[in-house]
Amino acid sequence: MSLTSGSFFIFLLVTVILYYTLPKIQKYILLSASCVFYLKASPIGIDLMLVLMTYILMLTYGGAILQEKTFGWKRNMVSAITIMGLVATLFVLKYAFNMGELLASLLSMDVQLSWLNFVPIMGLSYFTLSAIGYVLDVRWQMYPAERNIATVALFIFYFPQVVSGPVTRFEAMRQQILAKTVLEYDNIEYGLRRMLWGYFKKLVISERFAMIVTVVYKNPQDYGGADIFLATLCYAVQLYTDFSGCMDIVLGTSALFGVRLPENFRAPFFSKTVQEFWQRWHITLGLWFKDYVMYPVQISNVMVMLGKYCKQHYGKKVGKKIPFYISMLVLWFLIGVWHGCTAHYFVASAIVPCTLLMISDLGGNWFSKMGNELPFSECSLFWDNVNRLKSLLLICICWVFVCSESVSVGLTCLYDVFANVDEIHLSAIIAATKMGKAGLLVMVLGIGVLVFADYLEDKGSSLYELLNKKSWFMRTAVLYAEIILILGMGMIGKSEFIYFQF
Amino acid sequence: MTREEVYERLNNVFRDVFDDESITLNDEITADDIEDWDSFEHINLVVAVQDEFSFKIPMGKVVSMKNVGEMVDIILELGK
Repeated sequence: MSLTSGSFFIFLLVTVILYYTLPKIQKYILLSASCVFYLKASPIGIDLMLVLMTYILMLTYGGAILQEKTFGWKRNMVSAITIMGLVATLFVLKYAFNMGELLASLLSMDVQLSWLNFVPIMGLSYFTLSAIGYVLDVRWQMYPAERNIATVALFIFYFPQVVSGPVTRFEAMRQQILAKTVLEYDNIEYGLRRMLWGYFKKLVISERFAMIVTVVYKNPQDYGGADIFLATLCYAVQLYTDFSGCMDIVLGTSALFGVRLPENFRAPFFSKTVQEFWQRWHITLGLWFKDYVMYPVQISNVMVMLGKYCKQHYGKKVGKKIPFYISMLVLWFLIGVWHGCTAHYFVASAIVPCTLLMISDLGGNWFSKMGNELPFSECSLFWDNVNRLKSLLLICICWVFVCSESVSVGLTCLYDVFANVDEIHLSAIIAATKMGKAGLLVMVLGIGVLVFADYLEDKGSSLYELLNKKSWFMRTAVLYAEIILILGMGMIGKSEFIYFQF
Repeated sequence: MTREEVYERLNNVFRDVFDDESITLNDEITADDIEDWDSFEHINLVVAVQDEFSFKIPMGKVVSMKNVGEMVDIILELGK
């Protein structure tokens, strides 16, 4: 069941009606709806999916309680088994096919490995992280283990977030799941508007930019550096509007039930440094890895001892930086693995960002700070925009590898961008997309609205807040314009959301 | 150990970690009030606090402390 399909709207409508007409069993309605949604969206058989869901639930629920009932080495053992069980499930179901193929090709085996051909299981990477976070929180005694299995099940399989995140925390979700929600106009209005904004981003903006990306990156050898550069910028828009659009739909859907999920984006392309970019892009994933991977690694006895050794021998600064860089390497390695088992994804989501961050940190962000030294430093807005552009261009290096079908193609494209710059073949590319003048106009309009919306977000406001200050007539007119644009110009049913694959 | 004693020692830890002799702590101070207090320095701070007070701060407390006041509460609790 796709988020852009008619069946999803019917399913959502029925669930919302039941949710508010039967307030005493709201939790069970959401749980049943989540099971239906997940089983229906399952790429494998319902029976297998039920086994998988039961296994993950029992492991998380039972592991968390057992941690409380045991002490000393037994508790450590329970924590290790539970977390390793969840990680192993993710690893096997996500990578078994790739590894099987890899082994078969390496050993030149003529064997049929179709039984290993797992279709990616939707949301597995997201809810496994949420489940691991819950088990670790209980292990760290941040709150007691939940005794009600239905609450834990709903936390793991809550249907809006099961698609592509955000990665949630049990403590924040529990209060909302257990609260009796009354039908409030604000929740419904906010939810529907947020969903509309998400559909607009995905169907009107993202799909159009995707056409340019596809034309160029399908045969990058036929295009020059300028064309590849343009296509990469288009991919930045495509990916951002696709993923953040999906998050708008997810957060809007959840708001219909009075459950507010954490934001995953905060105007990332307004970031002035690459560090800031990664704090504003896929926020919940970054926070998860920071709290559950980076901090524990940095605070481990080995790292503390290493830090002290470096401080004694090489000075205070090195003593701080060495453990930090090692934990960064661990963090980005895991983020890379999380994104997939293919080399170009690993380069794009681990090697390039980690290298950029380290270089930027080693240089003390000299470029950003240079604005303070320049004679026209009072013109900070100009320098801020230069820095924003610099961050966008650096991040585009990641996207080159995402768009390319292999690392070598990615490297060639990158080389072309710098060394093989000739005239841009804009009209030929647009002609190849068969988009037409109306489509182009929509693209320009879409990007204008998007930049304005992100500008507001960067300033701490939002389109939603701005519209709320306008008259009822104005709000309604914008709403209808959005609906007309989505229905008239939206490329419905063209492709799935990019982050579904993770 | 009194709250005042904890503050005196903690002030020195903060000044050393952030290389800023002008820092004077109170309960309300958060990461937003000290320029270099980001997620990276937070862990350096925790390690320095552990060193100063000779105990290990549990991970749950490391990720959940929201201001200096909470940090002092944790130190007093662990130092009992």
